[in-house]
Amino acid sequence: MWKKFDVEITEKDLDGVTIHVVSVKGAIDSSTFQELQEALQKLLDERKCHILVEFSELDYISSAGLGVLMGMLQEARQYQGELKLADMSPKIRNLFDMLGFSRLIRIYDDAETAIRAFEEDAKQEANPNDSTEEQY
Amino acid sequence: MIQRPSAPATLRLDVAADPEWLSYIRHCIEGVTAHLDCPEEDALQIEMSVDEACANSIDAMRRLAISPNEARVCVKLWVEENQLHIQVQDCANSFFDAFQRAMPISDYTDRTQRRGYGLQIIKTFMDAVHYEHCSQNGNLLFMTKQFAHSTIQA
Repeated sequence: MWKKFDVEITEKDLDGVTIHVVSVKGAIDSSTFQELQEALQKLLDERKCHILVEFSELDYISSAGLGVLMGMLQEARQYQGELKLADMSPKIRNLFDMLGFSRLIRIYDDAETAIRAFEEDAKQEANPNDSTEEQY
Repeated sequence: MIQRPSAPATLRLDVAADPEWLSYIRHCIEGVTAHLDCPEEDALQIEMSVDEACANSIDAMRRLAISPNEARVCVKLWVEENQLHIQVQDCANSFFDAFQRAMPISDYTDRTQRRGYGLQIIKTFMDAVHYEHCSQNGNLLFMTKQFAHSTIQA
């Protein structure tokens, strides 16, 4: 049987925060979700809690995969981190929307936008009184 | 005079209870929905519902350690009057209670749990879902998807 799933992790150092980009390829289903879970759990165990899961080459995600993402999102937030998703195909995005998961997890059109959002979060965290909004 | 067969043509997939087979089942379902010219959203809902039903069957049989010869999942698909009917059969224990408890996904669904969305997703995405268990046939999950357009050909 062909290799249906692959996960690759790269590190991105930004000003004030290190992001781990988890690129997933193939399908996340009952036969593969554990690979994703192990990869994300390893990062969280090492307190690498700013995680971007990049879905550009993901064909399918089952409820087992959605469960992993929701579990890891909560764990990342416990450690003051965040798990964001980016680069979903319309099919995967549609699935998140139809099941209401897109309201609970931050989804970005592309990885660059997600990384900028991490930068903004880090700036905000470093200077909680700073705001880009006009002050009155 | 040639008599028209009374039963609709049925596609049957009979696979071992191994999650490695799920991707093949999904590809097959994709092929069927493309052949039926299903709208994209319906096709995705059918693919996911069948995947979840089969994943539940496989998981239940693996937990019972049923012998590989008996541990099989049988998926049947047939079309009748603009409806796609799907039946998923396995020989695991009854899941009647879980089936009764599962509610379609709504704004009030707890989405923080790690497992257990399968039946909820099926009940959300399919137009009708029916469950039966008997000692002879094991578990039978029936799912129906209604199509709005009237061009479906079996």
